[in-house]
Amino acid sequence: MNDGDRLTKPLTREPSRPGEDINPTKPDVQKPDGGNELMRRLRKVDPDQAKKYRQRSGQ
Amino acid sequence: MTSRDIVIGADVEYGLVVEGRGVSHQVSDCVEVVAAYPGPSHRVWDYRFESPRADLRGFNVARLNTDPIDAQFDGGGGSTNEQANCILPNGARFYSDHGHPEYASPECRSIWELAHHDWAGVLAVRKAAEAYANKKEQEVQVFRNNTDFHGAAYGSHENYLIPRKFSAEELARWLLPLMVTRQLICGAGKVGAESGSKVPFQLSQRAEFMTEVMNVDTLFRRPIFNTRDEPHADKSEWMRLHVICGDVNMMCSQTALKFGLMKLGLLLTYNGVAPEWKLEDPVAAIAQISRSPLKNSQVVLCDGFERSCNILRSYLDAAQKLELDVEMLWTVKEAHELLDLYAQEDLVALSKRCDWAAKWSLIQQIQEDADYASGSPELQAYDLAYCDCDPDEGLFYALEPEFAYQNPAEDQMRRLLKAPPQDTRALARGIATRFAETDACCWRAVTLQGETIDLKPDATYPAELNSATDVKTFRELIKL
Repeated sequence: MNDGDRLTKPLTREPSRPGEDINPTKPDVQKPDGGNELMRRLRKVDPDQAKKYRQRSGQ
Repeated sequence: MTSRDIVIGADVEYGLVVEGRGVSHQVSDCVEVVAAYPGPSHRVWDYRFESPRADLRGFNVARLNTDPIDAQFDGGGGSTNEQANCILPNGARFYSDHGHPEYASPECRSIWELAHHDWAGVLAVRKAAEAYANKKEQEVQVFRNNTDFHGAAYGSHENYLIPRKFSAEELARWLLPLMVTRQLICGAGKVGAESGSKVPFQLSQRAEFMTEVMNVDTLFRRPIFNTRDEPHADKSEWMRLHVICGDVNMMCSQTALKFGLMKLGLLLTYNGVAPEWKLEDPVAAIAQISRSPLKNSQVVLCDGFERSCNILRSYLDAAQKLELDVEMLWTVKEAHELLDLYAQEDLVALSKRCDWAAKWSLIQQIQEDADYASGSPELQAYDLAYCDCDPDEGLFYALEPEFAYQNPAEDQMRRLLKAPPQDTRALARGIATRFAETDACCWRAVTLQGETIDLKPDATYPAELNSATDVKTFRELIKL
């Protein structure tokens, strides 16, 4: 299985117009709600899962 | 034409992970997952009326473009019709599509009814995955998202059945600016980027996969405006606007808004009052807006520039010229309010009502607490966990009680899988799944004992169909 970069990648588009294709400034954020249940779930997340996650292209 | 005259449907492809298996097995695994669906269903889909290579611009393409990487994994196998299709008692189709379990909702007229039926699809996919996992003794996960973060996208398509009055070019002229900008208030949100320069977060999962303005393809070289001419109804009367550039939403209110905005755009177009914006490069615009959360970015027009929020708001302002029903009034009000919050950069308030904002708010907090880099794979893992369909594990479910609108609970989802909408042809299809004498079903017809009955999209289907217990009664009622 080839896990390298996929040819399906969209065309690379560098910003060349007055759009703000830059990192957004960080707004004030309150702690997300959800309480202990959210914390329990967050602790169970495997930080490497997205690295391993591969799918076929769909429609 | 009123909003309820526009029959709508949602097709959502889910991400699928089977323990110990990979992309090369995804098609066969998916077929087995669908085949394992434990609920009542009819298993034969009628492919006779499908025409995915027909283009609205009046020609047929010889072949559809496919992903050359995925082609490496194809070979052998295959599946029977019965293994890969479930037509459910609510009129929905649950099936295997290019390795993704796909739930195509029954046709609805109401945007809220559609949003709820679309969400019921989560339960159908979960139940199939659980049945497969139990049978194989392998863990299975399903995700309600549109990307694997490595360049593979899968779709959540919207369908709008409308009278065949306008050409594809005319519809695109009036609707493209709406399709490009609606992500501001109904994008699903995504950590990082899969093309171009790095960004911490995007409004849309799908935007950067749109590489063309118009074409008939869906698997590769995806367009903002898809020109597939496959109405699933009499082609001389009907056309289906097949929208493939949107994200799959987690909040049902966002699904309703996404469909409501497109219905509004269609109503404005049919009444000749849609705003006109000539985008110089729609493909660049949809990507640029996605990459600029809470930035009211400028969109390049053929004759100048305009703020993205202003373009979207122009559709809401034009709606004042129409007499709107309750759902369209809600759409306009909700969109105005979310755009106001967007302009105020009020992420906290947006996070209670807007999918991308809910996810971004959570991701920022995780980043701060764990010191992960912006847009990093570690944060993408939390993005993925947010979309995990397991109600005991998915991060969305833990946050949902704080949201402004609640999704249907599991008991309601269960009922939705059994009960077709009462005001579309989905009623007839759903009831037809009960009978052993049913040969096959599809969007436009059911075939019973060798007789194919056309399901006209604008016909009235009598409520008495709900109590039909035999084919003879069904036939008599449907031909009234």
